Amino acid sequence: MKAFVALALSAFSLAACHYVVPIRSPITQPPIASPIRGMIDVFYPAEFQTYHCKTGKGYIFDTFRFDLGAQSVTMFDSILEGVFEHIEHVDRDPDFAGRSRPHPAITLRLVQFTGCEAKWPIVGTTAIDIEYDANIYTRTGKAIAQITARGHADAFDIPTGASADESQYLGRLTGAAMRKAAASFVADFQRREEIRETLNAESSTQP
Amino acid sequence: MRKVQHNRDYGSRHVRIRLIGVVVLTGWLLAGATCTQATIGVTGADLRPGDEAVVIVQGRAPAAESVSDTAFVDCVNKNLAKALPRPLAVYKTKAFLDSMFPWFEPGYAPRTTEELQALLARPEVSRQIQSLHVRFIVTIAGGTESNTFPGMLCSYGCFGLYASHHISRIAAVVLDVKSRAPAQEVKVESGGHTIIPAFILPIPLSIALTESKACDDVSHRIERFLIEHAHSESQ
Repeated sequence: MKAFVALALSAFSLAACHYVVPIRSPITQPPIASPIRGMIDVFYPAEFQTYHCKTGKGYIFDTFRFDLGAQSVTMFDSILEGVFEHIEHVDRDPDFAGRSRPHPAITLRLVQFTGCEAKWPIVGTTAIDIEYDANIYTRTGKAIAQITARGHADAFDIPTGASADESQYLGRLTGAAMRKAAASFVADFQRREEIRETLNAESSTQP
Repeated sequence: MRKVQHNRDYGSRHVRIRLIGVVVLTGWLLAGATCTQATIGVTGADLRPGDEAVVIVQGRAPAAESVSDTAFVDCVNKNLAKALPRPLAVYKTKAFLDSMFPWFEPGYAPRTTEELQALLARPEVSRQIQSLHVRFIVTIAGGTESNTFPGMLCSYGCFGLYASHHISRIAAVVLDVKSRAPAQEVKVESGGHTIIPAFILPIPLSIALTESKACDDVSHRIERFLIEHAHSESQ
């Protein structure tokens, strides 16, 4: 009997599927914004660019993997291309310690993502929260602002007639939460005149 | 006797081996048959030259109500797309939201003429609205409240009564981008009961489709307003 149970379990685990959740950047074009003059350096830390996670024990056998990092980078590239006149990726943290750089800089961080806490039954019950932090620095390394962008998505954000496929459902939820975070980032950035003024002043004195 | 025993042992081992085979094969078949990778499609706009676009977006829903915004906006979109005569044409919500990101996202869309004017004061927003030929913006907010009597127990079968009263309250605001006339509000309230008695199996006697009715009502009233308004402007 024990052997049978073990065999049945191993058969079920063979039957278990491993899915990559189809996440697409929810921003298809740069936002409608009045861009800040000049160039800004954009730093995505390695853990941000490569962030991924898998659903855990809550979901019996199937595994869902979220490759969120790449899509977060695509999304923020689109956002920043609308918010700034020019962007340049840099591969070093603008941790200045008194050193001056040619441009102001922005760094992104993923603070929270709850997609991998999804539990059965996924469709109709799962909600996803996401939170990003953006820190903005002047050319001399002075931190001038932190913008927090949050998004929450649940079943009400899924269009009617959408597929009941679990991985697709998780992908749509993730996209909806990312889109809300993106909207809050852009709207907040556009409203905070003091950041815009500082950065515009920085760009007018860029070498 | 011994021979029988031997046969029985042989038989049980044989059955076990076959069982292992069946279980493992079933596992592989299940794995092969059910693991499919999904992709997401993209939709676009459907607007002809000379059309005046009507867009329907989610407004700010009152808190503490359950709101099926996306579904409701989809429903109004479909009804108006079928009903409105040219040159009025419904611009698909998703395409519009993408083109105007983030200014008409849920929670950011204007609800009053003053808010619309403040938004259109941004040159980049105004330019984009003009390039999309948007004439009317309809924001929809609201939701459904339910009072439930959960008198049903289910274990080996269901027994008792599930009764629920639903009220859908929807408010749509129509903003005219061209004339910047004061916003017009359309309010709709729709109620109904869901009654499901159960004796072993649940028997749905009545299911309230309040949101569906509210969608039809609000679509019809918006349609009438838009046609009358567009008609009076042309005279």
